[in-house]
Amino acid sequence: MKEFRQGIVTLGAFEKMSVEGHRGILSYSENEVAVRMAHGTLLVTGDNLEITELNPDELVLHGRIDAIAREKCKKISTK
Amino acid sequence: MQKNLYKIRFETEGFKEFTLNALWRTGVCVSRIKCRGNALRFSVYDSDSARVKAALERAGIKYSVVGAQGFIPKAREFFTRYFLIAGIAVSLAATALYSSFTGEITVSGAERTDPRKIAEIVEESLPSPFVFGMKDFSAIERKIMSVDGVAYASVVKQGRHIVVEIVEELPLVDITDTQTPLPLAANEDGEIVRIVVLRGTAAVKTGDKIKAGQVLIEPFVKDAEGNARAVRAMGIVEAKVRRTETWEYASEEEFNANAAEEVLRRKQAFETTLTEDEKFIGYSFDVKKLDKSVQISIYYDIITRVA
Repeated sequence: MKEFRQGIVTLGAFEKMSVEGHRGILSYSENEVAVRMAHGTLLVTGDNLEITELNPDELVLHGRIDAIAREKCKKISTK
Repeated sequence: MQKNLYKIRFETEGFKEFTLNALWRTGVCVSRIKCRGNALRFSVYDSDSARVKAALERAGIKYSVVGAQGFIPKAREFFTRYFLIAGIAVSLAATALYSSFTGEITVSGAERTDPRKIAEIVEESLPSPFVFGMKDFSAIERKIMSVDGVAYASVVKQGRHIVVEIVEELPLVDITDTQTPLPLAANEDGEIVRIVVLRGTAAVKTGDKIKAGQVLIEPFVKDAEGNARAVRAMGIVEAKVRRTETWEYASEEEFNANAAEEVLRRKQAFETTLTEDEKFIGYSFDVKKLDKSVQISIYYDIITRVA
């Protein structure tokens, strides 16, 4: 059994990203994915973003990733 | 192990973030997530599907199961599909094999030629009842065409049938010339009793005495202006003719003993030789005494067609 660590983001060739220790998804669109973390929000922007796997502790995101930002507080977008 | 072999694919409607969080809260692994608008498609292991369904129902998310993935469904699909393909292939092979056997030989176009003879030729020429892949029947066609009266032959295989189509040679027909202008002449001596001119101009009339070879109907007709036009003379000419029968008796005694009876017998025999067109009128006889013998002649008068 893989042991997940808290708040680890792994980026592969700006095409694939895995987030370990997430707490759910705040918003999800082709251009922006907001992932709730233990101490804030992880905001991923890019093109053709797609969550391909969702495990209790890990989230896998595919697409062209332009930017990753951490926000302490993020309003939930309903777009 | 079962868990790794079998996945269920779901489709949900509603806010995808809400759906994804609901799935995340169940603690199951969700893979192959595809998003189209708010519709979401994803796969979960079969062992987790009950939990997923319960969670989706609890959250009030509409869902449907759209398929299954993994070894078992793939195997099931494979066998279903490939057994079907195999079944079709076997059926086709069986049909091809079945149709390869010659069931019946059909001969058409044989009106004057015996179709059984043609069928026999085909049967003898086929390599075996199994004619799979045999497409060239030209040798058989040539054999059939060598039969008298057959001008052309075509042999094709249709299913289990060998269909032979033949075209026969046209029969020789005697063409009778009825147009060249010719007169109608008498074929024996006699006296005309009836003349019907169908074409031409009558050269004789009822009561005329005619000789063999005499022209009875001339080969022309005249129009209202008197212009003659040559035609083939045609008509019915009946005449009274005389047939003669003569025989001898060696002596007068023999004549006296047999003549009366013999004349009657010969007359009756003559009557039986008359055709439907001939009519017996009467007869007479003449007796001539020679040196030692006696000669007797019977004259039969009949009406017959002389042209």
